[in-house]
Amino acid sequence: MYNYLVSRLATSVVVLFGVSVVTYGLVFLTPGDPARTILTQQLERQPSQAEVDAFRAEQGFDDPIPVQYVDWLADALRGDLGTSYYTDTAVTTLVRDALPLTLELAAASMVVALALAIPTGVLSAVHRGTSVDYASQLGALIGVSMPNFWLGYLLIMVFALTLGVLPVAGAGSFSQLVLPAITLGTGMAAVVTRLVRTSMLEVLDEEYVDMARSKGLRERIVVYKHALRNALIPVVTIVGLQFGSLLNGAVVVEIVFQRPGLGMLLVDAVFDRNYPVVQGIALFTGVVFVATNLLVDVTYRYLDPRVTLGGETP
Amino acid sequence: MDCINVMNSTLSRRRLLGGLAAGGFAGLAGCASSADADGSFTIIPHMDPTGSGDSWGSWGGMTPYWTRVVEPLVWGSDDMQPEPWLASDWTATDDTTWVFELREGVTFHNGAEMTADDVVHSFEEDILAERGDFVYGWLHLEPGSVTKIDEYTVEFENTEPFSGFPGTIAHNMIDIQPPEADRRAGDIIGTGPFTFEEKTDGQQLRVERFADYWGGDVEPTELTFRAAEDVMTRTDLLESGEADIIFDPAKSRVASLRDRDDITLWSTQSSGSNFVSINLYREPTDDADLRRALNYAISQTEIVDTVLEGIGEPARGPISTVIDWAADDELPSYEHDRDTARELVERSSYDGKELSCLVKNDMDDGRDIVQILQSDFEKIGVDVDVEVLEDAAVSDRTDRGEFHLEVDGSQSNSPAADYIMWENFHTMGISNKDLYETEGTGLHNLGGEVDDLIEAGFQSTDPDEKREAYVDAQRRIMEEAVVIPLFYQEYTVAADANIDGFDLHPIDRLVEWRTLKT
Amino acid sequence: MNESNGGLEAALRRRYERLAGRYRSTRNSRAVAAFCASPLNLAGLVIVATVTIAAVLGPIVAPYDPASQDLANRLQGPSLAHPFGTDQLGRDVLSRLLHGARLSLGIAVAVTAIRLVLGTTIGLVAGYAGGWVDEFLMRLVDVQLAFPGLILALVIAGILGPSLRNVMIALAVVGWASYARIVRGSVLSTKERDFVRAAQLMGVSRFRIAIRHLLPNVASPVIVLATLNMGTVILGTAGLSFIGLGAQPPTPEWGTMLSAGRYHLRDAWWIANVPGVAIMLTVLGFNLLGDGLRDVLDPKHDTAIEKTA
Repeated sequence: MYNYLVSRLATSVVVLFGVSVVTYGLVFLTPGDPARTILTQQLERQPSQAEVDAFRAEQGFDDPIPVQYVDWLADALRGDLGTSYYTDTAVTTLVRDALPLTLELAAASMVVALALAIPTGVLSAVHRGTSVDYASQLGALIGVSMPNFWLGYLLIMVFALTLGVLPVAGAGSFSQLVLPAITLGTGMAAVVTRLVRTSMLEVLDEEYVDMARSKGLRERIVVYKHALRNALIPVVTIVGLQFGSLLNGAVVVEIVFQRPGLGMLLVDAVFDRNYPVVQGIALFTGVVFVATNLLVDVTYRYLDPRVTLGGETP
Repeated sequence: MDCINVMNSTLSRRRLLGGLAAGGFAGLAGCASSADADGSFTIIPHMDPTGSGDSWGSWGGMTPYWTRVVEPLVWGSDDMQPEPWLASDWTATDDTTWVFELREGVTFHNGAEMTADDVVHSFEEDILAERGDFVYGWLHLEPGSVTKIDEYTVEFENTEPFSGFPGTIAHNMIDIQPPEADRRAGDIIGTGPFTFEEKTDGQQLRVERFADYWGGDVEPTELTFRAAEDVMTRTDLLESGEADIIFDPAKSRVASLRDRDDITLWSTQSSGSNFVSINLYREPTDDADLRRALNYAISQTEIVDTVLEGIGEPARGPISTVIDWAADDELPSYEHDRDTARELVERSSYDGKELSCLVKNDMDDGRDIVQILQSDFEKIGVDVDVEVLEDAAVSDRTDRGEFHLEVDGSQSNSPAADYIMWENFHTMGISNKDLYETEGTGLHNLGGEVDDLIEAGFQSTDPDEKREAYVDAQRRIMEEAVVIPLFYQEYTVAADANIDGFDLHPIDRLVEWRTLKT
Repeated sequence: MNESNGGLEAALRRRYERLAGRYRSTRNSRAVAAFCASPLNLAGLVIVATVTIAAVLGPIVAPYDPASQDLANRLQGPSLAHPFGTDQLGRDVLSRLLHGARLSLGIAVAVTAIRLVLGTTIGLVAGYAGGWVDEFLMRLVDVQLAFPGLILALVIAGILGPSLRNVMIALAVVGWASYARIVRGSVLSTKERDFVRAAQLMGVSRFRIAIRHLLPNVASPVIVLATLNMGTVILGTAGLSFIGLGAQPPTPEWGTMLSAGRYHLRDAWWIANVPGVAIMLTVLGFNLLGDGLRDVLDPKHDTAIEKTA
């Protein structure tokens, strides 16, 4: 266990190094001279060549890129991700302020996904191979097949404008969370439905369910009490791992519902060429991902030494 | 779109003002509101009032537009003339010196009376000190040029003759606050009819009635400004009853809003106009025949009648007709005429290669307008490659002169609109200056006599003389087809039909709100 | 070379051919039968076939030029002349949809192909070479997987600037790692199978073994992943178009059409909903087909569908 922990940790450090290189390197994809772009934005006018040269020297832009990278990384390790070009606000502050709205959305979406997926998956498994099964699977897949923003606007049209029961957009109140969570959650639901179905099928095949049945309990109780409980353990774990992919959808959903979360912050920063913010968010999500994977792997290993997940494929 | 100007390409709003509205999205909080009898209203401007992600640092993160917490010395009248406000009067004592008399009995939100010291402080410690170099060129003031004469008299020394000075400082951003106001910490102390209460970045901002307002009664008790830069979201919020008043509803909804009894629509012509800027210093648009051909190719009326739903006036020149020196009907007319256009293309140096046409992704209806233009140009045999880009990318391309056409516009947010001529068409205007200095070229500047005319108009104190010079400059600009005029802007305000007392103003940012009631 | 040696070689060859052949053929026939058992699988197949035909024939059968405007007839509802109505510039929505089919499907195919080739190559090399090469390549995979796909794609496309080409680059760069991982896993397990062992014993070159024996046996999971990926890429393209990083006007890419149509969702529903339904059905088709293929070809990998738009 100890050896595993050390090697897994070492791997994560290597991966994080890679993540930081990618994050830093992204900016160099930009067409034109980043120094000029940055300076133009800071000065709010076209800089002269002399100003550009001075800025390059001052910021260390003339240093070899690896040296620049090390400087940036050193700051990042101290928790300093730089400041926004426009507001002088620390990137860490911006991320900290935007994060709760995104986490809230992701968590609520997960709830919606589970609420939709568990009954659908169970129904599907119990009625395996029947029209009920096919209808459930189809229904779940339709959710994942719709572009999020389209679904979001359709929901706004129906629930906010026609029925007038929920707000159009915004963040802060529970009612403002409902439509975004449904929009994002339906996408997730297809994946979870499939997991629940597969997991249920496996459990239903197992012997103790037969045993429970033979004891004369009603079929329903068997299914729900025994099978579901066992089927959900792997589901919940894997759903936890899917949390990160919710961030993908959150970008679009935040724009549709005008929620100033992490996704919206990122899109604005990308359009504004606000590179410290872009790099900060990219690094942040990368680190969170790697850390989550590590945690899940180690926990799994601890609970069940036979299992390996995520980072290592046997 | 701020400061003075939406301006063309290179004078991006962000750069001019340290970035006002980003091409961005913002959210809003709170729940459904309605225009209740209690005098509170929810208003959505087309720009995030909390200025989230932008530098409204000098105002504690609140936009000075619309919120009416802070005020300038001079205001703008309905016919775009400077109007006494915190200053009761002003006179030019020589070519470059202005003496302003302050209004007596003006009370700040902290109870103190406004005096000359506050004015000097606001200009010297804040406006000229903190808001970037662009302020010097805009106001023609430099640090140390504002002095107190007595308790209620202040003198301003312009760097060069500048007749438009009073009209230029009639701008929300040129506000007066006392030294006690810790602006950057969000402690805003203004003289306006409303006091700043609270805000949530990217969501909303709330102001309350100021009982001791110098200008008299204030009807509304409370105004909430919500952020919704997305035009469709803004419109939906009005239609769902979550907002009482919104600026510029989506064009696609205008027809159905007009049909509704519970919603009122007001429209007025604004100080803005939209046009296609043409790069004069790049082949083949350096050829006036090609530029004239492009002008003949399009129908302004068609654009206004279709995608704009009739909101806007077909334009003949780059200057909105609410500005008193706009030339409009004195300009050469390029009536929609494809045959003439084709002949001109034949005669021109156009070689069949695609022209590049840029448009900013946050321009309302820009995507549709540019496609109509593209299709019109194609019909006269000119191929155009359209690129819808974010602000920063457009600036980047125009700064380097790497484009032929840009769908753009400019608007004056103060009664003095001289800046539009200077920054767009003078060789030393923001967009042209750098290229002129490095390569001796520019973008939309004809140079030579046009520069002289613009300078004459800029400096002249005689309205007729100013008009004559500017009209002449506009005529030459249109003769050489430096731009393709599209339309003079109209802005629309849509509101709950119960609301009364909305004061339309050609500069939408000078709306007063004071008489708003249900 | 003496007699007995030749006999051994022949025996080995026979054994290895038999094993390899049986392995493939039995699996294939069973798979076809299992696939046809579910109506969902067949529905997926039908949808995908239909969309493919539309993509091939669409531009030929489209009644109008997709860019041709008729401002006098803008926002017209469905009619005989325009079965799916006209858009805000008076263009025929059906014609745009048909032209867009080739474009949208073409993007998905191209992006998926790049991901597949890149990922499969890396996975094959890593799995077969082992050692530090494997270690290095797998860390690359981890790095790519450490970023949520659309977020990285958004940053790349945003920095490169809005265009379909850049969208394709961005989506291709963020999607290859899953292939590499699956292929590597398959290679590692296949490597130990009898027929590969036999080939190695016979002295067949490494390259030949990789191409002839390892590749065909990793095909199943890769085909499944690629099919599911088609849907993901279509949604990803739509999402990036919505954010403003997609096709430039007047390109009739489906996601762009859908985004532009949202302004008219209530007064001219067909502008957004026609491409919306087209995207939904296409993605649904690929998801059904992919799920079906997975059930019969590759039941042990339950690759999650990633929704990105």
